[in-house]
Amino acid sequence: MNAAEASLVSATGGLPPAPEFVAAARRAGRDAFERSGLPGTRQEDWRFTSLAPLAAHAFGHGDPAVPVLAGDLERVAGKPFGARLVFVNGRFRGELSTAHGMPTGVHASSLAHAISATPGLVESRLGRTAMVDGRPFAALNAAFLGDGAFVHVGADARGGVVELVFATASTDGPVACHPRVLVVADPGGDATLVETYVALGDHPVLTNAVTEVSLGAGARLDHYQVQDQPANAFHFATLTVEQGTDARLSTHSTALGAALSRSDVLARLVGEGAEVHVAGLYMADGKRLVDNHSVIEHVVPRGTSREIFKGILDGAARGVFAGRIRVMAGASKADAHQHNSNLLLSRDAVVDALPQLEIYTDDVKAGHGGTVGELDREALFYLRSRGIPAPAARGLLIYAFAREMVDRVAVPALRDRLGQQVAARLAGGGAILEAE
Amino acid sequence: MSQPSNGALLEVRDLRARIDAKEILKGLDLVVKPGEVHAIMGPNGSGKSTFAGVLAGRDRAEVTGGSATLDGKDLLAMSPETRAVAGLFLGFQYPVEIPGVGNLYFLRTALNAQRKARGEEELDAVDFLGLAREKMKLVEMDPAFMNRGVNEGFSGGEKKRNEVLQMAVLEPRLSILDEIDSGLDIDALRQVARGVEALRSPERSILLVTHYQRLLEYIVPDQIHVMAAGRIVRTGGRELALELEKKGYAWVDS
Amino acid sequence: MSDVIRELTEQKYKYGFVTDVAEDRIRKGLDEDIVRLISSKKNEPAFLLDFRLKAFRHWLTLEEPTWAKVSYPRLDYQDIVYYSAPKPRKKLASMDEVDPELREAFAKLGIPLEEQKRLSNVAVDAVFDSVSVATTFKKKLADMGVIFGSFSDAVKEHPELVERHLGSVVPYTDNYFATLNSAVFSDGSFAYIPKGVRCPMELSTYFRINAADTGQFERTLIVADEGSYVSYLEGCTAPQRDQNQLHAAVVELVALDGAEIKYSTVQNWYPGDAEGKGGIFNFVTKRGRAMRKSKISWTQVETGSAITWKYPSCILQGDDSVGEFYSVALTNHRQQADTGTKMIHIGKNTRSTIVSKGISAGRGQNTYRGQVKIGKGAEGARNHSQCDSLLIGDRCGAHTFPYIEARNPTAQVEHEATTSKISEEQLFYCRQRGISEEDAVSMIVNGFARQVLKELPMEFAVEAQKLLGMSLEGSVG
Repeated sequence: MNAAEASLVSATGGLPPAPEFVAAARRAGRDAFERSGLPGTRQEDWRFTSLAPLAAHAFGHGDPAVPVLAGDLERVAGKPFGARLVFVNGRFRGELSTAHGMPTGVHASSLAHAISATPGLVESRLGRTAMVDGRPFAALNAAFLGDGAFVHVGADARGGVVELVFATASTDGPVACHPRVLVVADPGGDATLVETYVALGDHPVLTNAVTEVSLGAGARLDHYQVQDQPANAFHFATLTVEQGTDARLSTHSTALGAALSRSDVLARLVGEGAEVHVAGLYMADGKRLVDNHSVIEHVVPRGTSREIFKGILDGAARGVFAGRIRVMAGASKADAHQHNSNLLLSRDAVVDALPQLEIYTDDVKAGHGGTVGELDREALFYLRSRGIPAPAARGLLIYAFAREMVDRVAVPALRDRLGQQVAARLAGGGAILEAE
Repeated sequence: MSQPSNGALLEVRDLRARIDAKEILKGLDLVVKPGEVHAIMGPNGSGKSTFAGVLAGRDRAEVTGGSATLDGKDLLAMSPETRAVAGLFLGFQYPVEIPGVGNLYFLRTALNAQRKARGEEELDAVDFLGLAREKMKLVEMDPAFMNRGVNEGFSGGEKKRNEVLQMAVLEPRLSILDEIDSGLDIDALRQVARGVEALRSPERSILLVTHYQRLLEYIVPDQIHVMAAGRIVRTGGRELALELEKKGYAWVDS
Repeated sequence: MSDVIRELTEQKYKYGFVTDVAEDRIRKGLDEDIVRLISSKKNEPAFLLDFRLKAFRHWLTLEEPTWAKVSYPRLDYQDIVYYSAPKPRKKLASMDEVDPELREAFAKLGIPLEEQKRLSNVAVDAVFDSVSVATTFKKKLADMGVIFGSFSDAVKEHPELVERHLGSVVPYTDNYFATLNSAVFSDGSFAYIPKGVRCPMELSTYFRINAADTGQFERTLIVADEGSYVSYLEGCTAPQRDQNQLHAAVVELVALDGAEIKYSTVQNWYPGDAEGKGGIFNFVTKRGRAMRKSKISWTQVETGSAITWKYPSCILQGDDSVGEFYSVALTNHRQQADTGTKMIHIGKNTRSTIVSKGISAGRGQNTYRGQVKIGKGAEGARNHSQCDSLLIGDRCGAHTFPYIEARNPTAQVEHEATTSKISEEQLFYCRQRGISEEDAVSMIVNGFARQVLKELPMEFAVEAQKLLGMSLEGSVG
C-alpha cells in the first residue's frame, strides 16, 4: 500500500468493538483493500477516473459527536419531508432525527442498533451483495463496518418515505467517512427510501457509502440518492442489489456536487420476473469529474431492466457513463434497455459514454442508445427571438433537458427540491421554475 | 385419412386443441364447400384466432384430437409451408414485420416456392412484376410499398391491404382471414373488402374470422357461425349477424 | 426451427483443399536474423530493412493484448514459420507462366487468372501464402497511371511512394500485431491512383493461405492521390487444418484531398471445425487517413476465421472528410469475433457512419467494439452508429461495446443498438406463405444484413450472400 492507501485504512484502529460477524467482515474488508489498494487508471473500470487527487489529503476519522445545529443541517439537506434519520460522520444522531411519519411496516434505525437488537437478521444480509473482492471502495467501507442505517421493510409495508441524511463534518482537517445502508424488504413489502449526502465544514471530505438492498419476492423499493457535496469533496457510492421473484426496484441518483463523484450500481436479477429501473442525472462544471458505472445482470428468466442516465457538462468537467447490461445464459425473455444522453456546454468539457450489452441467450429483447450534443441552436434562437436573453434561454433549455430526470421522482417534496437544486445551478435560476 | 364428404373443401371434425394446459378448442365441426364464404364470429377468447392458427399450422396450440382436411388431405399432418402449397392462406390479424426483406421479393419467393412445389413453372421477374402490378391495382395498393421491407413501418391499414395483395397474388383455394377488419377505418375497410370480394369465385372459399358484423356488410357470407368457448354454437344466415349485433354475444351463451 | 439452424450452422467449409506446390520456406522462429533473412530474400532497400528492425525491436517490448472478448491458447511465436513462398518465383512475362497448380488453385476458388475469363471490370492480384503470384490487367491500368500489383514489386519499382506512405497511417509502434507485421511482412498489394483519376475497374486482391505452420503477414498500401477514386476488394480463404494459423495483416489507406477509397472485404478464412479445432486467428489492423473533403468507406463481411480481431478505422484528419464502416460479422460453431471500428474526428465538419450487423449462431461469440472520438477541433462533427445483433440459438453470445469520447460541444454523436432473435412469428409468416423454413431463415438473416450487403460491389455481393448460407437472388442491390 502507498501512503494514501495506508492513511485511509489507518483509522480502523479506533473503531468500537463489535460482534464477531461484524469484526470478521471488517477484517475481510481490510484484507481485500490491502491486497488491491486504490484502483488505478490502467484498470478498465477506472480508466477515466484518476484517484491521484486523494493523495493530497490526509483524511482523518471525523468526530461522530461533533456539534451540529439543526438549522445548519437543514441549510444543506433541506427540511425533512417525513421520517428522517441523520448520520454525522457515519454515526446516528438521534437529536437531529425525527421518527415522525415513519411509514407503517417500515422499521428504520441505526445499523449499530440493529446489530445489537436483531443480530440474526443483520448477519444474514450484511455483506451478502456488497462483495469486497475486486471492489476496493466496498472493501474499504467494510473495513469500517459498524454504523449507518438499517431499513427493514416488512411484508405489511404499503409505501411511505424514509429519508436518510449522511453529513460528513470536518472541523480541523479532511475527514473520511464510510457509511453503510442495509435495506431488507420482506416479500410483498413496499417503501420509498431517500438517501441524501451532504457535508458540513470547509475541509475536504471523502464519503464512501455502500448501500445494500435485498428485496424479497414481490417487494418494491423506490430508491433515491442525492449527492450534493461541496466542490472540494470526494464522493464514492456503491449500490448493490439482489432482487427476488417479481421484485421491483427503481433507483434514481442525482449527482450535483463534489470534485470527484463516482457511483457504482450492481444489480442482479436473481428472481424470475424481477424488474429494475436505474436512472441518473449528473451535472458538473469547473474541473469536476462525475463517473457513473453500472452492471445489471439478468440471471433468470423474465427480467426487465431499464437504465437512463443524462449528463450536463460545463467548464472543463468530465462526465463518464459506463453501463453494462449482461443477460446470462438461461435468462430468457429478458427485456433490457439503456440510454445515455449528454449535453456538452463548453469547449473544454469531455464526455465518455460506454453503453454496453453482453448477451448470452437468444430469447431476449435488448437495446441501447446514446447521444452527445450541444443545445439545439434553433431552439435557442427561437427563445431569443421571443426576447429571452441568451443566458436565460440557455438555462431554460438545459433545464428542459434535465427535467425528464427530475420528473421521474415520485416523491413530490423531493421532486420540488431537486428541481430547485438543478435550476439553481443554471442561469435564470429560480425564474425557470416560476415559469412552469 | 378421411374422405371428403359432399365435395367439401375444408372439413373439420371434433377438433380439439390446447395452449399449455388450457383447452381452447373443444370439439369444433365445420364444413366449407368450394365457392362458399363463411364467417366465424364470436367474443374475445372464444378460440376464433386459435382455430385459424391451428388450421394454418401455427404451433402455439397443440392439437389434442379431431381432424381437419383440405380436399380430403389431412391438414394436421402437414408443415405450414405444405399447407400453403395445398392452397391454404392465412391473413394474419397482426402481420409480421420482416426488416430488410423487400416486400415484392418476398411475395415472388413465396409464389415461386408454391409453384415449384406444385410442379409448375416459376415466374421470372418480368412476368411476376406484371402480375403484381395488376393485383396492386385491384387492392389499391401504392406501388411505393413494394420496395420497402415486408410490412416494415406499414400502418395497420397498409398491413391489412398487403395481406389481401398477397392473397390476390397467391390465389389460394381457401383463405382464412383473421380479423382482417380490425383497426381499419371505414374507407380502408371498404377497400380491403372490395379486394376480397374480387377474389370470390366458384373454386375459392373464404373463411372470415371477425368480432364485428360490420365487415359482413361488405362481404356477404353464405353462412355465419357463432363460436363460444371453443365450439361452434350456432350456424345461420345473414340474420344471425344482425341478431348478434343487436343482442350482443351474451345472447349466444344463454 | 432448430433443425434448420443446425443445418445452416453446420455447413461445410468449401475451400478447405490443399494445393501441392513446392515451397521456399525458412526455419521456424523469430529473431533479428529471421527479419534480416526475410528482407534479404526480397532484396529490399535499406529503408525497409530499417523499418522492419525498428519494428522488431519495439515488438520485443510489447505484450500481447488481452482486452478483446476472445479467448484462445497462448501463441508460441517461436513455433511459427515467418516466410513461405511457392517457388520458383521469377518475374512472369504473362499469366501463362503462372504455375499451373497455382492457377488451378485459384480457378477452384472461382478466381481464374486468365484475363479473358475474368469479369472485364475487375483486376486481380492473387496472393498465395503471403506472396503475390499474379496480377491481372496490369498493363491496362498502367495506361491510366494506376499502379497496382504486389507490394514487393512496388518496393522495387516505386520505392519513393512506398517509403513516403508506409507506416504513415499504421506506425510500426501501433499495436502488438501490427508491430509484428511490420517486422516480418512478406508481401501484399499496393495501389496508387494518380491525381484526378477515377480507377476504371475494381481492384481486387485474393488472399490464399496454403502452407502449414506458417504465419501470414501481408501488408496492403493504397494511396489515392488528390481527387481520385478507387474501389478495392479483398477476399480470402485457407485450407482446413487442425492447427490454428496466425494471420496478422496490416492495411493502410491514404486518401488525399478530395479522394475516395471504397474498401470491401469478404473474409472467409477457415473457421475451424464444429468443435473449434483449427481455424485462422485473424488479427488485423486496418486504418485509413482521410484528408480534406476525402472519403474512406470500409465494408466487410466477416464469416470465416476461428478468431477475428479487427477494427477498420478512419482518421478523419481533413476538414469535411467522411468515414464509413459497414460490417456484417457472422460467428457460428465456436467462432469468436471482436470487431468494429474507430472513427477519429479531427477535422471540422467531419462525418462518420457506422452500421454493424452481428449474427451469432451455434456457440459463436460476436462482439462489436467501436470508438467514436470527437477531437477538440472537430467543429460540427457528426456521427451516427447503428449496431444490431441477431441471435440464432440459445448458446451463442452477442455483445455491443461502443465507446463515445466527445470533446467538442458542437459535435453530434448518436448511437443505437438492438439485440433480437429471429422470431417464431416471422418464421411462421414466411412458412404460411409457402416458403420453407430454411429459406425463411436465410431470407430473414439476409434482410437483417441488407443495409451492409448493398454497400458491396455487385461481384462481391453475390459471394457474400452465398457465404451467409442463403439464396438471396434479387433482394439485394
